[in-house]
Amino acid sequence: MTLPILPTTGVGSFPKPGYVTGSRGRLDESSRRATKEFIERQEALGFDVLVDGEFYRGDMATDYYRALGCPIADWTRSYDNRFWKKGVVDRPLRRVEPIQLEPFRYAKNLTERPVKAMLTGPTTLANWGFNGHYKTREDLVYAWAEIVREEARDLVSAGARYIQVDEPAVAERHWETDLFREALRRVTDGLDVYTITHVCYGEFPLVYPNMPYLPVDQIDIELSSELDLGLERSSLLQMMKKDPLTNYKDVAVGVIDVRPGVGVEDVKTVTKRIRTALEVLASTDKALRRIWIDPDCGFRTTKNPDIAYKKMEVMMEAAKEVRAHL
Amino acid sequence: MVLALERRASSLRGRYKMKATLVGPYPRIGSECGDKLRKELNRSYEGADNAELVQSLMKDLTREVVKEMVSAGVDLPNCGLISVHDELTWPLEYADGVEFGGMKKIFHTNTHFREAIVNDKIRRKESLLGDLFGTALEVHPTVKVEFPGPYTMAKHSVLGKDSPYRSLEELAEAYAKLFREELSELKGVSLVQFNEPSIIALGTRSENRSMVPELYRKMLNGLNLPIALWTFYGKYSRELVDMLLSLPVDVIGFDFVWDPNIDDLLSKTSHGKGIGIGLIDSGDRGYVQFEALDQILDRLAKLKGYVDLDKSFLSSNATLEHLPRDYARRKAALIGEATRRINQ
Repeated sequence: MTLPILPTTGVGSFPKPGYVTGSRGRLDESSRRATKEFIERQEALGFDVLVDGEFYRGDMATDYYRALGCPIADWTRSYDNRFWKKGVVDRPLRRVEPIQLEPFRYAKNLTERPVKAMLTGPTTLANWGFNGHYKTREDLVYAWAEIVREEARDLVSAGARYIQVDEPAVAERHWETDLFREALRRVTDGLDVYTITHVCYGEFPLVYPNMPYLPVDQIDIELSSELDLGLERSSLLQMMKKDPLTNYKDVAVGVIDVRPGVGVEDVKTVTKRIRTALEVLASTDKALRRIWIDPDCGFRTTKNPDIAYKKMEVMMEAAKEVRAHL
Repeated sequence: MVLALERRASSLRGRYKMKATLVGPYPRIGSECGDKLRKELNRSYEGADNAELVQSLMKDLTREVVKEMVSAGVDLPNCGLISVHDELTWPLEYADGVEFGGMKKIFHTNTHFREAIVNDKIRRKESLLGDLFGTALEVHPTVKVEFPGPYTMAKHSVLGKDSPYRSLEELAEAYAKLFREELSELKGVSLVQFNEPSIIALGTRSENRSMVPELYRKMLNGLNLPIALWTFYGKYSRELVDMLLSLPVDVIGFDFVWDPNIDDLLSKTSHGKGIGIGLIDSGDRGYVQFEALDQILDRLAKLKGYVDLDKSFLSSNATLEHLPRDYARRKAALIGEATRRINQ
């Protein structure tokens, strides 16, 4: 399949419809139904590369801990009214069985369009739980890298052409960038597929100089609030303008704010965000062809399926509008 | 129980002893009331008309967490701060001139703050404390007031295109004025604590700290309130310790978890301040061990040589929100018990 200019995609999740209950990393009948409906919606809206909606997930990190048999602690707050349950590494990490394989196979078989295979990255898995076993950070992060690499190999064997490794923790320990990069290399090294890492809500200026060297084909970055600030006010956009990431990688630009309580943007706002992104990242035709359009993060945080669906519509409308005037 | 009452009685007579305290928001959920609040807040995001119920649950939960802290042996709790979006920019919800922009990580953690975008002159709309401080006082007579500090708030803000402030210094001073107005209306409070992680934490949110002494001098000049400044998420140098101990405040909180060598720096410094001994790991670095009481007591015994424990506070290094509620409760009890023992 040939992708158009400014290909459109999702980041991963979608709010669970009311009929999806109790899915904590397992694809059950209700999450199969939701996946099918979500795939059909993306097709109808014209998304180029689809995501499965992650209806089977409890949490992007906790599910991995659970799948490996680690104890799960009670809720911890991330911000406002968002919580997750931290897993506890209390033993050497060993994969018991594939974690993402079944959901990927199911979604892939629902459509002729490409579906991204989703993985949580080793640094994020290490940071978002408690370490009660490994003596060093390196030991912990590399142990997770081995688990995620096994997952990635299974997904490639199952026909994945796009593998996304979610690493929202990229900037948390900005002094560990070398560790982050090496862990990601251990996951992606030798995979003969298009690889992506998704990053969001971080202090990106601290890690931006290292982003060109990350061992993936595409960096998918949450950017809508920076695009709203504009080039004059955003230090990140200024760094990007000076040394565009598109000189090195494909870049998926997050242009839809998915935080809870944020209303549905109008098409004009999102069109402006995309045009600002192009001003910053697409100084040449080659650079333009490296840019993808997607939301800041998974839609699940919007909490509301209707709002999320409207946001998807707005994003597609804005992408269409910008494409028409290129 | 008898000892706890003796301690409280002693405190009320003004005979100082080391006190147990906590830092930042206390975990919200992990109880029936907290879980109900989470569900109702989710419903409100989905459009439910339940503002009154949410407010009522917040008050109930505030009473619950303050009681929980006190029963764990915490002498000087805060109000739990269970209503705040995050620990860094929340007072600006009570101010004009600012809107909330993008969300970013709070330093090295998977907790997030909203970047404040300043577009106009900062003005206080109403008391920054909100209703829940009063609710906390209903269940305990001594509750400390706790805010993010003006320097840290400025470091987590962006000057919008219409901002009347042209620099970080000017913005920090505007925030300091906001707090000065608030402080001038406070009477009879046990302690007002400003959290300033940006003074020591790593990263771009912690540069240009040379402005801090003048900022605090201007903010506090002429006010007669007991003030603490708390630092966490980083390490200290000799110069930094000297700067902190020169500030016009009564207590300086140090992060003994991130910087185990802070003892050495303090041992070489002469000062008359109380010290916030942030010795109990809040879990922010990803470890969840529970400290041994004997080890805490040994460490405190060592500190007795160069820290005036009668003026000082034992606490977690940072907010216990990095932990689930049941773990936080155990940590609070550890702080309470260690304080009780060292005071014996």
